[in-house]
Amino acid sequence: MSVKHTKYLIANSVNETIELLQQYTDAKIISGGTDLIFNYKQKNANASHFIDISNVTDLKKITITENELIVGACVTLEELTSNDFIQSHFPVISEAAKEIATPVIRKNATIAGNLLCDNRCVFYNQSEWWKESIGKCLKCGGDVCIATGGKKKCFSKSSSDLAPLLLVCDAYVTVISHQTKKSIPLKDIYTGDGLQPHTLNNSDLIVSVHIPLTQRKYFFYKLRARRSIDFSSLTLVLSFEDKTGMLKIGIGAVDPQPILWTYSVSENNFETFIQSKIKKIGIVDNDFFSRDYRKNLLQNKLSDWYRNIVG
Amino acid sequence: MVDDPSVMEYKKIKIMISVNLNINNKEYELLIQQDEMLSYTLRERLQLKGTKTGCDQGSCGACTVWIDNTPFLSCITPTMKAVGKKVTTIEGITEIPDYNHLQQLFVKYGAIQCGYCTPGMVMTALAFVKNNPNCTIEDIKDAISGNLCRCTGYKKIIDAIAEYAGIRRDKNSKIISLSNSAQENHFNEIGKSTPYIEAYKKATGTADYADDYIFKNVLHCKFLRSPYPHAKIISIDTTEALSIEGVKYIVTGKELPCKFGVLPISQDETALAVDKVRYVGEIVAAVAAETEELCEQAIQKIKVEYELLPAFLTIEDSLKETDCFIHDHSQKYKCNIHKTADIKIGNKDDAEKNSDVVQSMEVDFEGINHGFTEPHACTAWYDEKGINIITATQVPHYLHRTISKVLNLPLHKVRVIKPYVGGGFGGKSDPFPHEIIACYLAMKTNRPVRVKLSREEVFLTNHGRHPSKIKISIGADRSGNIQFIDGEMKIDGGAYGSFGVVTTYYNGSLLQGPYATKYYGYHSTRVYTNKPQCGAMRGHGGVNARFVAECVIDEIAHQLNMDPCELRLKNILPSNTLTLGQFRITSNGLKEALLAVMEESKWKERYGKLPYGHGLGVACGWYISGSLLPIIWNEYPQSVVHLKLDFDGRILLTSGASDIGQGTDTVLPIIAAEVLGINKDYIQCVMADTLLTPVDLGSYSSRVTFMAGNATKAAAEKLKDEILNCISKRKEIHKSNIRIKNNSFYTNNGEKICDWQEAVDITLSQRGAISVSGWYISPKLGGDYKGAGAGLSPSYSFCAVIAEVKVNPDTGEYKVLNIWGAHDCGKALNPLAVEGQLEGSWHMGLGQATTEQMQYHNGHLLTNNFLDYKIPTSLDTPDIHATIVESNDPEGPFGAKECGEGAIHPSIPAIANAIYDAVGVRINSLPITYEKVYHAIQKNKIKDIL
Repeated sequence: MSVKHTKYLIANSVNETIELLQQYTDAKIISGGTDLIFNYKQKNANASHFIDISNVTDLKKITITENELIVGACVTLEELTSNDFIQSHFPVISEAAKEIATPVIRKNATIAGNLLCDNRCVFYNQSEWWKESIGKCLKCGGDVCIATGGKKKCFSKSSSDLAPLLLVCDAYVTVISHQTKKSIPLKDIYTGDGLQPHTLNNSDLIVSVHIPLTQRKYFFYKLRARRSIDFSSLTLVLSFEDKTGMLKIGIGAVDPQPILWTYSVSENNFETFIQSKIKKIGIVDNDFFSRDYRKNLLQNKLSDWYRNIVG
Repeated sequence: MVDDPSVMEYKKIKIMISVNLNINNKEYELLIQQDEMLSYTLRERLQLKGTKTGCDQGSCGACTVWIDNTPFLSCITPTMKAVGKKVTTIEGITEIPDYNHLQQLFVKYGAIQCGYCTPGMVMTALAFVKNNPNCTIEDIKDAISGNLCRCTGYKKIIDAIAEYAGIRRDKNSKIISLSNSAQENHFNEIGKSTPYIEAYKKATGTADYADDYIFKNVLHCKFLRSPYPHAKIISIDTTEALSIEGVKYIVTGKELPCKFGVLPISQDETALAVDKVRYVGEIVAAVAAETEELCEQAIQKIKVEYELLPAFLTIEDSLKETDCFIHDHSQKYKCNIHKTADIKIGNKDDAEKNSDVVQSMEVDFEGINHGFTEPHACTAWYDEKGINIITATQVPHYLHRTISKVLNLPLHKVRVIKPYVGGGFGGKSDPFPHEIIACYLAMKTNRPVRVKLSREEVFLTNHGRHPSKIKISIGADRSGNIQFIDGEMKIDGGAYGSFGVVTTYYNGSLLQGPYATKYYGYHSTRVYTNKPQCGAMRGHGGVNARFVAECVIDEIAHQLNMDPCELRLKNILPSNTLTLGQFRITSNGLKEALLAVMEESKWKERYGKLPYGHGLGVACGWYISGSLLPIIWNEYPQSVVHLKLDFDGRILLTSGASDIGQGTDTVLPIIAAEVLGINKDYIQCVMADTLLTPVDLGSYSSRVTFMAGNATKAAAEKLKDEILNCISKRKEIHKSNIRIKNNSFYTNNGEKICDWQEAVDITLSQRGAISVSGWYISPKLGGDYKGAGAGLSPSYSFCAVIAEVKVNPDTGEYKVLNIWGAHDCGKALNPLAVEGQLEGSWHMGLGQATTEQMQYHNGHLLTNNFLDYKIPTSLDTPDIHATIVESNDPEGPFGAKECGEGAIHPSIPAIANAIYDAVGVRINSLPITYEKVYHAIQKNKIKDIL
């Protein structure tokens, strides 16, 4: 009998990566590996091959054009916290990146890796033995969601902190898929389905993240039990554009996908707007903090920020 | 180029790849698995055991190494990532003087206790300071916030890194001595801050922990564990598993039916489940095979048929009348009670009559786990001496007895060796199934058998603090004099007994201090549930009840409009007294401790005057300094120490006392050296090997410094006497006219007689090499009522803590800003070690207060890893300010008492009381999550509106 070991390939250029992705259809891309290997060890991320792109220099650049900030897929979270341009023009990105995981993990974890973090749930992020013992949940091949006591839908939480932030920033990603380069609005890479949270295929490679340069005011808040290590229990971002009176709200860790709401201050019914929106969030008790508490904080924070903006 | 390596078949199981690795500037050509992690390659293939693994999932930082000078968590980094790059491990940085300097600073500052997190911490810190030479203290706290330390509270680690980074930091700990004795000034070794003798080994990764030993021809062992909380085992079929080539033996419960347990009165456990399983995770079968992978394959092939039984998962479940019992001996209770204790002392009616104010509070406590960074590990082998096991244990002696009992071997055919242990806190103090199984498999296969538990298995092994529901009522007169203390405790013991009978009593018996009362009583019940068993954890038995009592006292002060410190000062027991339950209090420095933290925290100026959201809270506590009674009743001494002096002038100190990071191996030589008047460098230890060292009962109940310390002192005095006799005879000077100081012998007039080496020659020429034995037997103490022995100790430590918090009333989020603690440890024989114990205790208290919990779902442990089980990081840990109070205990060695456990007691309620001061809410369950604070504030707001 034999044990299946994932093979490891190292790519040195974007083209080589694309070739390998075409050759090995069951491969997974690895860069920092801080999320992937964690999930691999829990048997939540199987692949015939890992294709390591952390040596591809083209993916590690930060470029500023007239209209946008372009961040290579393999730019690390630490670089996001320390890059001069980002610190001065998008301090909120530095701030958010600095609150992810730990300083050592941030040295290796990348922007694209964070956007593509697997969804998390206390019933899913467990050892193989544990999951077999309790009876596997939907996300690992079982019949029902354990967190909700038997629903037929997966409520695993989107766990990326950068996703709600970059949604608010109107970011899009450049993806190479089967030799074709295309731009995809960030929100379109998320499915809303906890089982398969991302629309990208195994053969797709994110090469860069594009963030339009805009003049906005940002608010950022993250709830977690400890000030380091922990994944988010609630990530909340709000941007306000004075010129247009547009509010954008990004929310992470409460739903199978990062959430984006837009609102114009001219509508003048913010509380009602928030309340009706919150009802639609797929938030369940699968976190250190309860569903109700996270909903309360979400509502309170947004209301506070709103008052702060409109006075 | 795409790596397209020559792939080779290896034993038809593994497809390996040949790679070149540069590790510590040395080139290696290695065969590895393509998906193996760097920590595995380093530890298992290259035997670079300095890199530790604590969680194996990137949540603790112990495994940190560098790749091209950038820190990586090697347990989640595929080795393939390092191909073509330079890997640096703790072994590598040790050779570079500039880097080695930080390791030396870790030693100097006492930043190392158990030392298991140290290599990873050093790697993270070095990389940080190299790249951020102008960093601040806050930057350092942030930089190491992914490296968990369970021992130190990070304070001394931050101090060491700060000096390395050139930051000056004032020392903020101090010592208050209550003695007027002039003797103190004459100590040579006592009272000097001394880094642990083995600290440099730990700093450099060369100290061997249980899983670091390398054995030839070793078999691996892994376990099949129960997926059900409560089920009958109908059948186990191992045929297919055994047919796998390389699988050597599979043991199931029927082969090892002999029951054991750490306490003679609750021998209710077996090494493997025999007829039924009692918790999710209980061992059902164990496989010994050539590789870990083969073990895992075999486990998949073992077929077990179960018949499910009703599961009892909460205290309420187990108190319901039933005819289904987790253990048959619960039948007499008609429910799943394990043990009850009922004690009432004094006249309650009178005490109630005299109480002008009565307050009570009921608190729910989640179970918590020791969270030591080193997972359990052991290797056992069988030879002409019998069975030998090297294992991460804090009580070799009870394991020795248990192995002998379960494997039916004579006591003289069992040898237990304690290596360096990566933290215990009570969690390595029971004899464990995996240890017994390893021994059995070693006998059956005649090969060394190695076991290492995953972090999840460590959590399932548990033996942590009991989930509890505790109600305490306290009455006081209008002047604040406590009249009565009454407790009702229900504790959830999990599936087996462990130390639970003791826990049942300690919950109540430790309420008879540190305050005087006219009446105290309790009714305590321990239930069995179908969860991993609970046992002893730092501050065993007293911590949860102390929390409730201190919150109630705080409320009484509030009701009486009294300063809670003043109320406490009023009630503190005096020195040299008996408690209601006839515990003998000798030295007591609690009053001075409380006054010290009041001053340090500027309590009088600030308490009650801080703005809403900002608060101070106080609490006190006490603890035993060694259990007066041995666990297995006998008339032997509780601790024996041997000293051997031979021609080389070195004194070999042998003792069964177990250093698990608290500094035993350092403090015993300090004591011996002080008595003998020589430098402690002359004294070398061989410790905790039951073949070589005399019996000590182990590291539990904070007994080691007191008991093994007294035994060391006694042995040293005997040795000194022998030497003086010989010198007296040879030099014709009366013994009473000879002094030893600074390694030389003098007459009382100060004339030098001889130096140490000459004294050794004089002595040995008259009677050969000397061996002496010293021992400690505790005095006969205590009342004659049932349960009088629980909590009885030859001496007690006392502690006061003030905590400062800031709460965000809008979210309930809060941060503990400061902890001021003062602890009466009698005498700080090694102040550096005492501070470390105190700081670590308060950090552990912070964890239980704020974030730590063992959460279950239908009997399945959810928080079974260091991501979900939330030990506070360096960023969560406040500034800690330690004051040592020295009350000079009359019976402790040079006046010393315990300092490892007592300090945790007041830290948790001090935080809760500070939250009350800040926002006016009392949280009646632990941990105090932000959420609970938020909801309590909301509730108060509604109350205010109504």
